Amino acid sequence: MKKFIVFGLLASKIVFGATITVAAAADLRFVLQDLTALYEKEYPQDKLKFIYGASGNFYNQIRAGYPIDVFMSADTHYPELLYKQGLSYKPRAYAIGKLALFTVENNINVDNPKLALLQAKKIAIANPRVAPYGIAGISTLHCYHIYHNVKSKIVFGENIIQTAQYVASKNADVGLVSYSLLLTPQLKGKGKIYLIPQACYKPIVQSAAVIKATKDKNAAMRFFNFLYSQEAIAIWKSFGYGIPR
Amino acid sequence: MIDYSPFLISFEVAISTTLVLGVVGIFISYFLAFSKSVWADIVEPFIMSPLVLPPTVLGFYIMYIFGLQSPLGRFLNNIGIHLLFNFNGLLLGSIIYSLPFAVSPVVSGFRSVPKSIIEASYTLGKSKFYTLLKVIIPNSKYSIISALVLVFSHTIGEFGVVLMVGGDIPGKTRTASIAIFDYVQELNYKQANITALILFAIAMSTLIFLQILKRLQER
Repeated sequence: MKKFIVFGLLASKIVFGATITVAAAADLRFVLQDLTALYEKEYPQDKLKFIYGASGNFYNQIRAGYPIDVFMSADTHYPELLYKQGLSYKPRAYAIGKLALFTVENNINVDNPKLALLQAKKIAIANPRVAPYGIAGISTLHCYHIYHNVKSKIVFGENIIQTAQYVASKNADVGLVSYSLLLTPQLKGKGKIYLIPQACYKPIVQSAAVIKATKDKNAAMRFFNFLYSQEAIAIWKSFGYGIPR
Repeated sequence: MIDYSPFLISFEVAISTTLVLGVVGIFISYFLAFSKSVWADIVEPFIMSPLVLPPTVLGFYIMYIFGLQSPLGRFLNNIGIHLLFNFNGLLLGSIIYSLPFAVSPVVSGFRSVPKSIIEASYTLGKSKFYTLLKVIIPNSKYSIISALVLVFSHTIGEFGVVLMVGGDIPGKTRTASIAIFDYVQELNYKQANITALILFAIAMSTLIFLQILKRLQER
């Protein structure tokens, strides 16, 4: 009998354990390291695999049959489109990104962001065509009424991490980047940060969805639901994200 | 602590591509080198086009022709053929992308085989296939070897096509060149550096090998 129970436990682990492949927006790379550690402690039978990239590219690949289980977009637009086409289950917002002014130059004072942007020789912003943080960056410049004065100084990063790298490597003197990125161990304490007032740009709400073509819906839903759990919310907050109601 | 799986995947793709193109390339080159048909002139630019096209153009079209959003992609999927986001995808993309490197050196090798010895073989009653196998190929062996080496190293180095049609799936389609890109994004410069140095060493050794081959041929 005892043997039977042991065998049953082993079998249940084998049956329920899964590899969950997640396509995630580039700004999530660091917060997901912490979330993964927590998830794998709670569900040791599951193995998580991540692919990072631009949300728009993932959208195209998912339409072409990309074999992933969960999609974590940097916006709400792409998951909604997939849902409307019947390619995903209902998406849900997991975090709200914040925009920050970032510099590693000693002579730039970020407490006066308008002046800092005007004085900068190069301003790094993510490409607004594919990155939601880029759209927020451009609208911030409009918000300070300096877009036309500074537009020739803008350098575009392909995603938000590359944009932060431009600043960290001093190839741009200031950048408008994701606040959560600046709280990661790699960039923490490396420079000066000013949080852009949220009235200056449309909230960067980020949504996730389980893809319909997933081979293991239960496992995919397990990770999806975990993203909204109390423990996960604590991690989202510690990385400077806002929490959707 | 270095992750070897991207290298294994890169090598697997490069070796398979080299094997496929080694055979296919010879027949295409034979056609291009000896055919007087106008089709040879029409086909050649298409085969050479990956040399001048951005990899994103190839990746985009492969994805849109074979993806599930296209009728052909759905048909193939229904009969169990999956050409995207797996090893087949990497192989398909690499074969198309490296085709010019398999063909161009071999065509010029075939063309430089003296006409007289080819005709001598025909006069002796040998078939076209026998002549290709026993006369033309042995006389073009340096060109064929350099084509194979070029295909191999070019496949190891490709990025855009494999990223788009392979999908960067860890342990499945994340090749060494994509892994470098990922390490840099992760701000993991040490791993990026190690991987990049290994690829650099591979590229240099193939080029040095080609240099030696060139000397041998001139002798």
